[in-house]
Amino acid sequence: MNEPVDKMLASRIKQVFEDFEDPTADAGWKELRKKYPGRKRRPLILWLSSAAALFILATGLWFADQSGQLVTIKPAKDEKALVKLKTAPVAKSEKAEKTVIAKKEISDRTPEQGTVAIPPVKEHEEQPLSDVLSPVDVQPTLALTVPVDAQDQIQKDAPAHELPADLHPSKDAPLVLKGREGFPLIAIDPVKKPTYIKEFNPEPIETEDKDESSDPKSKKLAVSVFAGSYINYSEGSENQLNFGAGFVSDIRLSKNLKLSTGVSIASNSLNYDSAQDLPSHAYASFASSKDASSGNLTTITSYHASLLTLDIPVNVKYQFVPESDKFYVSAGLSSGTYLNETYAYQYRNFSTATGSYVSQTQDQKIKKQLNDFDLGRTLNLSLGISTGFGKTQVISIEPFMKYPLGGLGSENLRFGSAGVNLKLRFTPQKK
Amino acid sequence: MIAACEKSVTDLCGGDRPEQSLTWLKSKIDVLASAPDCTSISRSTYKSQTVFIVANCEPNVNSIPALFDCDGKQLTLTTEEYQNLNFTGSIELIWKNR
Repeated sequence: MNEPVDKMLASRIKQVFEDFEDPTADAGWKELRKKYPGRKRRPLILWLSSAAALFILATGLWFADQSGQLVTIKPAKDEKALVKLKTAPVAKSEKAEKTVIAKKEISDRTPEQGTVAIPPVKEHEEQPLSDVLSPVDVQPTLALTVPVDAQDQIQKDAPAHELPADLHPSKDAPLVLKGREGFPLIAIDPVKKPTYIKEFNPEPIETEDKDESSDPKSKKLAVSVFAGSYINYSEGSENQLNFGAGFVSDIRLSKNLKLSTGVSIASNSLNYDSAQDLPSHAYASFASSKDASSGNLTTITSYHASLLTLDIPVNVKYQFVPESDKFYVSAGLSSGTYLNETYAYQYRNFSTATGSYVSQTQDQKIKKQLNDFDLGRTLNLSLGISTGFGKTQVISIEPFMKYPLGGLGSENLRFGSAGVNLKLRFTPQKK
Repeated sequence: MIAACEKSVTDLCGGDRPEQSLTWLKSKIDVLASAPDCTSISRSTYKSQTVFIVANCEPNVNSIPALFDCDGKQLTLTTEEYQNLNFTGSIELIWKNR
């Protein structure tokens, strides 16, 4: 055949092969994709999942805390707690104090003594009980229940001038004593619950919500565990979401100050897709590992650093409420080493001898372990809000920021982080 | 005064026109002239010796610079030396392909 025909034939065959489409291949790929679904990185979803998990954890602990409180106020289980709760306001006001004095003196009676002779109040206030217990305050629904035989004895033995006329106990209704302005006295039933009587005293009573830091044992040292998520930042790097956890102990320095130190493990990662912003020291290990005698010029197209940090912070914590972690700020320095450092490079080699690239893009990883110790090269700043959680837990939300004061890791990368820690502190249970 | 003006000749290796006076540098420039990327050659002083720095000057590319001494022999640097790569004196651009 002649040459033009050959060319036409060749081009026709070429076109047929180029236009050829095999629909069965697409179906095959779809089936393969169903079997091995692709992994999609969704940092936002990861972040939201973490937040949801923390929220669920916090809610669960809150409900656990609520149910625990209900148990503690049941009188059947803890009669003392009931008495304490009811008498708690007594010592807090002048009027209440009057009432308590009268109450104590009344409670000193026993059925065997058979009298309600009330001595005058001398130490605390020169005021007769009849003034404290006015007739208006006597109501028939109350609580100072005296046994019938004892009441008879009281009526017999008690002189009329020792008690106000309205205060004589009745057989029909239990005696109700009230302080002035309607402040109620506490129910006293010496027959049914004689043990309650001895609990009535004017001494200050510890309340349940007393700060645990007043306990001498827990004053000096408090240990917390924490976990958090944060964003790593560095000039030229994309921000990367990471996680960390550890424990920290607070050593009390004064009422408002604590020294806070501990250990944490934190992952840090930096990704320089645009290598123009890559600092020169970032590829020092890589550069030294190259064969310099080859005369090649290495161009880096992508760089990824991943560091697992063993962090040792030393912070000073200032508490705005003395002896309480309810609101605080903290500042200090972090030191640490790196359990694992991985630097991944994508690069091409350009030959200065031939003036052309001698290789396609290649990958290389450099791994190091415990290679470097950075002393005080990170500035820590944080603030926190704490709340009680159950009998023995205190939970804190702590936004924080770490700022690099120098190069970190074996490649001297300057990177920091900012995020939120969730901190849980366990305190010894009160007896 | 005339002598002072004539003393503008640099003390660095290669003198005022190293691309002409140094044979190895001249041949390297000839090769790099056809390089697909922006490539540059600069001169400076590193550890008390004149060095010639060959680097990629593309705006979106970060290259590990190659250092050559006065005889055209490439220098081998350690990790620490790369991390603290400080040149004494100015970095003088000698040649650039674009």
